[in-house]
Amino acid sequence: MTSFTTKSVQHAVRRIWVLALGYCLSVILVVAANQSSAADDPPTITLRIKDHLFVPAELTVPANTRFRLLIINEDNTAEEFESAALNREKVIMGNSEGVIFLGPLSPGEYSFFGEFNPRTAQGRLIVNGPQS
Amino acid sequence: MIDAVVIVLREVLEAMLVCCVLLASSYALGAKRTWLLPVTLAAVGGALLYATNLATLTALFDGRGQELTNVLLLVLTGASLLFYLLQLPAMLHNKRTLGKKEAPVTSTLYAVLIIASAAAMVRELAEIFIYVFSYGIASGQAVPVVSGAVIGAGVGVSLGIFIFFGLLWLGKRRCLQMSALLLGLISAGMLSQATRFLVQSGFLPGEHILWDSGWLISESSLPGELLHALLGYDATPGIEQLTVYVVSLAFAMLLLRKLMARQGTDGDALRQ
Repeated sequence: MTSFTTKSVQHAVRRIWVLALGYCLSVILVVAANQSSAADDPPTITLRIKDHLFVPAELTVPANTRFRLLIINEDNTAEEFESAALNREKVIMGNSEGVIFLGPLSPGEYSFFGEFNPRTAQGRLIVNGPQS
Repeated sequence: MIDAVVIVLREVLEAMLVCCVLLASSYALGAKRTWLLPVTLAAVGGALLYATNLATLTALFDGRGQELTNVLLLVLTGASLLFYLLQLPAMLHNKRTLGKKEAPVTSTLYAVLIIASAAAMVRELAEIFIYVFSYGIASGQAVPVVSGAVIGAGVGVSLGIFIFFGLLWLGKRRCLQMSALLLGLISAGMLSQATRFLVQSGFLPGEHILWDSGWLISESSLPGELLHALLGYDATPGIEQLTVYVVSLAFAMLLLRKLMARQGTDGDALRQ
C-alpha cells in the first residue's frame, strides 16, 4: 500500500496541474487545427421565435454540411432552444439572438422545441441528401 | 403549471445532486457547515449576474459567450470535484497522525467545496431566474409559473435531502466511498457536458455522433433527466464527449481506489 505523505500529495497536485495543462493544450491545438481548416465561414440558416412559436417550424438543410443556426427571438420573453436529437441547448433572451453550430448531419428528421413552451414551440430540422 | 414544475425540477436536481453529495461527504469527514453560507451567497450572486447579463454575454466572442461561460463553470465544477477526491486520502492520513476525533479539514478543502458547489449552482439557478422572471412574469403567467417553480424546487430540495440522509445512513466509511463514486461520475458528466458546449459553439468539430439511444431512454424523460444529472447521460454523444468522459471517469476511479486503499490500511478510518 502506498503511504500518503505531504510530499506525495504535493507530487500528485503537480501531476494534476500537468494533466490540466495537457488537457487545455490539446483542446487549443485541436481548436487551432479546426479553425484553420474551416477558414471559410459555414453558411448561416435563420430561425425566428415569434409569439412563442418557431418560424419556420420546418427547416431543410443539405446532408453532411456544417452550418450555423442563427436563432432570433422577436418576443419580449426569453426562450430556450433545445433538441435532444441534435444535442443542443441555448437560452435566447427576449429581443436578442444566438448562434449554434450544427452538422455535418446524416439525412433524417431532427426535432427541436422551446423549453419554456414545450407543447406549442416545436419544430423540425429536415436533412436531405445522400448517405455519406 | 406542470411544465413549470418539470423545468424547475430538472434544474434543481442537477445542482442539488452535487451539493448534497458534497455535503454528505464532507460531513462524514467532519467538516463544519460554515461553508454553506459563502456557497449560497456566491451561487445566488453569480446566478443573478449571469441571468441579468445573459444577452450581452451571449453576444461576446462572435455569439459564443454563453457557451464559453458554461464551459468555464462546468470545468470549474468538474476539476474541483476531482481535486476534492484527490485530497480525501490525505485528510484521512491527517486524522490518524494527529489522533483527533475527526479529520482536520484544511482551508484548501473548504475552498474546493465552495468552488465546486457554487459553480454547479450558478448556471442552474440562473436558468430558473430567467424562466421565472424573463419568461413567466414577463409573459403575464406569473401565477402558474411561480407556483410551479415553488413546487418543482420543493420536490428537488426534498430529493436532495433524501440523498443526503441516504448517504449518511450508510455509515461514515461507506458514505465516504459511495459519495466519492458519485462525485467521480458527476465530474465526468460535467466535463463531458463542457465538451458538448465546445462543439455547440464550433470550437470542436463534432463530426462523429456515436449513437442515438433516444429511443431507449429519452433525455427529456424523468429517467433520462436523472441519468443526465448523475452520469451526464446524453442520447447522442459525440466522440469528443465520450473521450473526455472516459478519461475523467478513469481518473476518478483511480482516486477512489486510492481512497479505499487508504481506508483499508487505516484500522479506524472513519469506521462507524
